[in-house]
Amino acid sequence: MREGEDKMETQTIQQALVAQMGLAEDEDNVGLTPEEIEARKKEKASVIDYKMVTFSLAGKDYAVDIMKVKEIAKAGRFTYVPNTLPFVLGVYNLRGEIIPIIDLRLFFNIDVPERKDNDIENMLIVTVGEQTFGVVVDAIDKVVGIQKSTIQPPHPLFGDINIKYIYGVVEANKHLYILLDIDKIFGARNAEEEKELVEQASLQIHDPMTNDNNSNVASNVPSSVAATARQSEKPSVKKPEPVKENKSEIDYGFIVDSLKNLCKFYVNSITENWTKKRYAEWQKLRGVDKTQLQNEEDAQEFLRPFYSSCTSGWWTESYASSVSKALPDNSAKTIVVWNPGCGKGYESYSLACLLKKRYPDAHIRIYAHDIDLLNVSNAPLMTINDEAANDWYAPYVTKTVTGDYTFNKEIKDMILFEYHDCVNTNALPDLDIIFARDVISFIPPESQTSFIEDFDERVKGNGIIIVGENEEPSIQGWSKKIIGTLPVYTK
Amino acid sequence: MKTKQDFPSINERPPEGIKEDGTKFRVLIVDDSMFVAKQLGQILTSEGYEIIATAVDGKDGVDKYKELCPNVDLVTMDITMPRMDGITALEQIMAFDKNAKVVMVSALGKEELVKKSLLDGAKNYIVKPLDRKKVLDRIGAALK
Amino acid sequence: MRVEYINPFVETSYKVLKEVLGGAEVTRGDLYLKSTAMPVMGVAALVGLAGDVEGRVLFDMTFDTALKIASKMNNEDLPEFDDLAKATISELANLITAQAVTKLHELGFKFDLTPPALFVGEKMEIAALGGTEENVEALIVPLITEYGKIEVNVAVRERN
Repeated sequence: MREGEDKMETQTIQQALVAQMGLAEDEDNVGLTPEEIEARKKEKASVIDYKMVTFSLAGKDYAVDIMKVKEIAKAGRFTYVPNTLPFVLGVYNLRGEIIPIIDLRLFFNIDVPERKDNDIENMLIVTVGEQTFGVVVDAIDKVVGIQKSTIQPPHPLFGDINIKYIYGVVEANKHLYILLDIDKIFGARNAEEEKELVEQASLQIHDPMTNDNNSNVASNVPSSVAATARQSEKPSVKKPEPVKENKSEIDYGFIVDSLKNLCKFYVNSITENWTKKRYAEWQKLRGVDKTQLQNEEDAQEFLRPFYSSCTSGWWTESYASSVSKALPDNSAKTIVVWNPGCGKGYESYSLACLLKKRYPDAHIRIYAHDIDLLNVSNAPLMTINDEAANDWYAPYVTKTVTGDYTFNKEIKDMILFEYHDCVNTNALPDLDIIFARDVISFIPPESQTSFIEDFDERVKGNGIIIVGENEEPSIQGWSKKIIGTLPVYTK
Repeated sequence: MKTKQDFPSINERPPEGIKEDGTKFRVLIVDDSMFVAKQLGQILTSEGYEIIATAVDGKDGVDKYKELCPNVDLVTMDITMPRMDGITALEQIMAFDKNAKVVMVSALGKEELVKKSLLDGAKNYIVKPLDRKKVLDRIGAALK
Repeated sequence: MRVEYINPFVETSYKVLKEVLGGAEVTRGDLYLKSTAMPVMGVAALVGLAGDVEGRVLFDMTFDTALKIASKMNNEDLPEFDDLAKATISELANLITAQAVTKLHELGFKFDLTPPALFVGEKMEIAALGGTEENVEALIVPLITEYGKIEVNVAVRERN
């Protein structure tokens, strides 16, 4: 979309909103002293590149990107739809289009004054993707223009609302607005997330709403009303456990979110056991009240013990021999290896040397992939420090004119480094070995399933799969052994 | 005292496209790109050359050469073209007329292609994008 | 995409574009990977690659940018996107790809290119290489000029 078009659309929506509800822009200079008017003028002199519609919920100020708001409506009677979750008020006829109506107050589990059937409610009509929804709030205020760069990211401790629904916070005209991410609230979810939501939602039904900080239970909505109606009847919903409202669980939830946002580390069945153990440790280390991960550094510190031995470094001889023990006998002429998430190349080169040692007569081919362009681009030129070069790597390195050690041509020719996102189609021949340490946990859950399926399809009958030491994926039809510290999967 | 005649001005040097007898060198341009043909044509025409024909691929180039021979002084030949590429066309033209003067004009600068063309009989090889001076120098040299 | 292929494409796109635009400002955007059916901005020039690798290079830009660039390359104001303009953009694609291929040859990778094909239209999409239902992954090299943005979209794969 070209820039000009963008601006035009904003203005049209804005004008329409202003006309529709007599919504004031912050252009009112009524009742201000001359100094205040001056200050206002100065304020406006700064760039306004983002506009939001502000509203209130339980006394707090919230806002939503104006681009997501189709219009504003005041409405009375909704048509009640049975068997939906409490925050779904029903459906509404918006000039012929039937749209679902969500009560944002109930959605976020905030106290609501009792509703009488004929009460007029304030609604924002929002569009997410193809679907339009009506959102009921306490009161709608006005359109506020701000400079996008002044939006600050949300702090986990900030809201009563699960942080993932908050796009950011911003101050304007002496008000602090919590900017909601409409896409996240109404966005599309995959099967796993839907299941999670349904379980949590059914907990809500069984435990009538109270005004506690039930944040991690309350805040989820399926992406369509119809789906909601079907799902609350699904037999796959697990029996709800009694809700533990303790702070520890809430904090754990925040940590899980932070790990995802700061490090792209996903906590699910593959990493849950490790994460829970680590959390317990972390509580002791930091103190139960200070567990929150403030920034990326913090998060990386939390994750540090997750990584497998000899990550981002040259392999010790003992680690190398333990990997060697995990490799099956193979008399094939060619051995093909997939090494996704190879990073800078330590793993790939170490594997190459190891395989050369273990299978001296075979032609070895390693497909080394990573999504970090800088790291993987430098991999073909990697040098190895003197210490390692004189250790078990010795037969496989040569010295260059500058005095650095690099790997010899034979080793280098074995490895194909590619800038590649393994979530996309992987064009590979049949594989003997997959060496994917600490990769799956950093792939978004919705892609993990197909990634793992790929494993199964591509590996030959006598092939093996090695994952990270603290990862526990389940691969259909494959059994797991622990050899040394390595989880090794065979058919 | 030195006069104007003692200092031959650059502007008075004769355009390279004109032969000693005053007629123009006739060039056949073989390139599938209308843009390249135009660009090359402009450079050569500005220097007095005459573009007698343009061919849009290797086969067309060979046919036109055979038709127009002996009225073609020089051929410029692109390599990457549909139907018949420039190397094949070069071979065929040289087989038809061993005195043909062909200069390769291509975006591909691979060493082996250059060698092959020259071995096949091309007089010179110009790598695109076109630089006016280079074009004129090399074409001029090919015609000597 | 093999890392050894990346730099030749990045460097030659930048260099050749700058040259044919008479030394104009060209800024390089961050590289990234794309793997979906790719909508085309309006004009697409496609050059095929074959040999030790197979694939294609796609030059993607808006109609407006294409016309401006063609005008600049011809040193005249082209009033419409006629045959000459089309030939000009095709040649641009050819120049960049050929030089990248030449460079790759010097590095030991043997392959060749086909003559370019030009597509002009609205709401076009370029989908996967034939035969699979999955979309092929492409490296995107964005180049920004005063005439607009060009995306060099490279999808090549070793023949197994």
